[in-house]
Amino acid sequence: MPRLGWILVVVVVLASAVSLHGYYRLQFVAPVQQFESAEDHFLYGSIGTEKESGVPYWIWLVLPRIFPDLLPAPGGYASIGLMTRDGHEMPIGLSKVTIGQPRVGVNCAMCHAATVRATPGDAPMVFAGAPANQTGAQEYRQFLVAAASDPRFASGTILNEIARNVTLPLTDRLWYRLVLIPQTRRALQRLGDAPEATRPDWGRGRADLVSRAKYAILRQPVDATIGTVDAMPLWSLNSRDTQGYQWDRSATSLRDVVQASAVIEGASHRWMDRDTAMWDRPDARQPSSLRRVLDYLSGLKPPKYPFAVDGTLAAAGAATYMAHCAQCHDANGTRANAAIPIGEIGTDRSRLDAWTASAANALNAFGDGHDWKFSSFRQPSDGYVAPSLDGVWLTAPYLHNGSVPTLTDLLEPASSRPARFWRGYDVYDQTRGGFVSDDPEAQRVGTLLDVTQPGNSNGGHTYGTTLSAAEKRALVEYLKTR
Amino acid sequence: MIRRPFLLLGIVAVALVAIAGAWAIVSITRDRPVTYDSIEDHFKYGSIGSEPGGNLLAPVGGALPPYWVFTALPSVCKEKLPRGYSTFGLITEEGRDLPIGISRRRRLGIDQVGLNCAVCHTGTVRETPSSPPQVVLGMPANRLDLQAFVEFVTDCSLDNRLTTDAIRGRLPKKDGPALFERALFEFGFIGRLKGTTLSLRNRLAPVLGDAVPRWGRGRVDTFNPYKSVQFNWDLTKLPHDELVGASDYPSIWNQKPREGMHLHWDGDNDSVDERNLSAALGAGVTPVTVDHDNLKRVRDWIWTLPAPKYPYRIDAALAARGAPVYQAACANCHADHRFRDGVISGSRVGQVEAIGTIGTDPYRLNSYTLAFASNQYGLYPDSRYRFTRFRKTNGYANHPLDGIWLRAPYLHNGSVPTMRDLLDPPESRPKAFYRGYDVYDQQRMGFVSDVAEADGQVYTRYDTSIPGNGNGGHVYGTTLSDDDKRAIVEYLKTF
Repeated sequence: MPRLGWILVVVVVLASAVSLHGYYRLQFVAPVQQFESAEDHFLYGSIGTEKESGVPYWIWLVLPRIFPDLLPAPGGYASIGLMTRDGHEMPIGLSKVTIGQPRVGVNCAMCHAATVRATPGDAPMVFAGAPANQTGAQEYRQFLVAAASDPRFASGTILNEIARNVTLPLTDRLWYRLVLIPQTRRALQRLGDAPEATRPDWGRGRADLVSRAKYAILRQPVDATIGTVDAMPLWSLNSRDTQGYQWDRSATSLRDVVQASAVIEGASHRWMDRDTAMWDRPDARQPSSLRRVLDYLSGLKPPKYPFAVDGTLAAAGAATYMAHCAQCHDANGTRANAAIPIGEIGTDRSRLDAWTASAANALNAFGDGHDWKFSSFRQPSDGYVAPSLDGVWLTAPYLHNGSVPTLTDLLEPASSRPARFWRGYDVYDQTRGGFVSDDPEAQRVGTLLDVTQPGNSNGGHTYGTTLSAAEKRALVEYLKTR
Repeated sequence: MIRRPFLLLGIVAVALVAIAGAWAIVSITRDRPVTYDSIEDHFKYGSIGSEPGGNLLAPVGGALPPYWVFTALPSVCKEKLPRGYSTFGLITEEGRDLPIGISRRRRLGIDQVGLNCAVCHTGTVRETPSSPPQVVLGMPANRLDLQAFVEFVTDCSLDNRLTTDAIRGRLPKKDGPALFERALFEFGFIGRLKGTTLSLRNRLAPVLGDAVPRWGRGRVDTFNPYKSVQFNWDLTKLPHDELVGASDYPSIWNQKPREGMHLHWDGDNDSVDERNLSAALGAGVTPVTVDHDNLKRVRDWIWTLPAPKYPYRIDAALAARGAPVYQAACANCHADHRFRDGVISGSRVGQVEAIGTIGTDPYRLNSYTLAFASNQYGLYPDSRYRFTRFRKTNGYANHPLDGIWLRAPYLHNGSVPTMRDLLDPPESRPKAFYRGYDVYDQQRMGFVSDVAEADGQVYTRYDTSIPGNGNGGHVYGTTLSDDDKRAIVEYLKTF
């Protein structure tokens, strides 16, 4: 063979070796960790978001140590409510899987798992499926974006910090330097360009997934609407089957809601295909993750109030509840799970305007040609759903936009409800029915909600506001038993 | 065609560069601790990997400058340290170049030093001011003022008098540093050392100096420096009270029966091995520089290291009378004299008592937070050593009392000088006393605590009115008769 031929052979062999190694260390999907308990799967399991919207684990691990100034307080990810509990590796709401390298993505529990403490000294109780009052889903993303936009987000700095924790093989360090770190920086910077980033901050326990779906996934024209709402509780879901899910009742299939949520958080078509193919094979080595989530939620019961209840007072409140609340909020009420017209309910209307028929059509068409194609999304109702009050003690702050901190405040006329309070502190106020929202510690760890900001109005829902003080106290006590 | 002389010259040059490169690589990659055959020497002087390591250009871990700098500092900053490192209560033994608790290891081509377990867990005791101090391995470092030591090392490392010339002038003619290390000194090593020292000092400044009450002798703030060193938290942004966390060093003997108990003062961990690895972080290791084998050697030794027996006279009759009183008043939480043999008597031994029940000073408890525990689970990541056993508690743990005579002063913050004082109601306990003197008070069980200065050492005045120093709470046994209290104290000498 002539000399040129030999050179060619060497080049081809080398190139193949590099590509193979690159595939193995950057793309190869390792088996996903299967959690024994369905609750752990919900709290820590993967819903497929690691590749598209996730971050390599080693970068994720060291970012808070390189950029502590970009977090609201010392504490790493815990400072934005992302708590790691009882020896687990990842915080609640974040999953870790290996796609070439270990990567971190978000899951349902980011917005749907609450922590509650009776006093600041207590270890928190965790309630999977409850609105994540303490978590800053947007702050998490803002932190990643801010870090990626900072000049300190450089290969040398990041690799030096990683080297304090683990000795990566030389080849992996090269992949990080040449591929993963620049790629992650660009991907995160792009997230910062989202149109909804210019709207008022979500604050703890709230999210505007309507905007993310419209702009990032469905390529809808950018409008001025705000879709920020409280995360919904995920128990007693079956009672809503016929009426529709979401605050505006814009979906009628729970499976669609679960699967679309994964897509909106970053699950790719390919991941959805694989997950859906396993939908009816629960015994497979890698069963469908979203099916497991759906099954878990379908059986989820409202959590019982964990503190003392004054039984006599609660019994007195039951009558008030029947007279003033049951028609809309009781399972047997005539308007249970109905949409209460916005003109009648009078609460902030931003969320209704945010979702549109065109977005619903686009979402239904999004999975065209795939087994998981959605079909049940529709335009919003003319008002907000009157949800069941099961477990209502844990769904504070109240109203769809979380603009009223406690049950006691909700029974006051809008003008007497707090105009400013802090969301995110997980110590429970057993007197008022909700989380402590304005003491110094709540102000230190939480985010301010200002009801004068667009989308944050605390007006409307005036039911019960004219009751006597004694009746209100009894009603709040009764609601703890729901 | 290259002319022959040039070709030869080229080959020689390439060979020289290759040799120099190989030499540098061998020097930098060699990781060699000074080793000791005897386990006691290993404990006192052996390395657990707390010397800086990793990458020569961006080393990780460590708290002390290299050997040749560390040994020069006392003479460079002479006026700050007239009596050498023993000023801080570090124990020096005849014929040793380093104090107990300082290890030596060649890493990154440099003779490095680091801290090991013995620095905080070795103390001394004397029967009378004229008797020789007896070094006791595994007991709380009753004399050590770690804060002052760290402050001296950082201050002097940053002192203008510490220069390359100052080090060069102090190097011995024989047995000095290796050629590679000498070369590093000549090429700006001291400058870079000042850089890393400055960054360490800036991280720790909010808990050093007089920013919070000083730790004083025999105490350390375990978790606040850790928050900053491991996680780079800005300590100035934490609530100020959280930064007050000093507490006594514990004894580390007889660990086997402690496995599964709530360890640390607040009971935040129930695994001896994980607690050991966590303490090693405090000495300056990182997950990548820790020497697991050497640490395990210490671990295996303290697993069964017996608590030292009380060496002075015990009134056996009085002790026998104290046993039933102790059983009634103390044993349920603290076990009895048989704990040294692994017998755990008492249902609350090793459990956490709620702060509202125990009533002792809350600062140390509050310095360990949920957010901190949340971050600890990311330490030693992706390995079988990853931390999983830490939990935030809401109280202080009941500890067994083996060798309790050497563990004075008492309570987690060392706020009560003697056992006899602890059996008095809080309002009758000493309001202020001195810590760090190692002469033993056999009457009251504890160290003599009214000596401010002796043998050239200045002791720590402990003021119980300062935040974190409260001597309240733990009122068990305080209503007993004086005779019963004396009997309990005598019985405790048999532990």
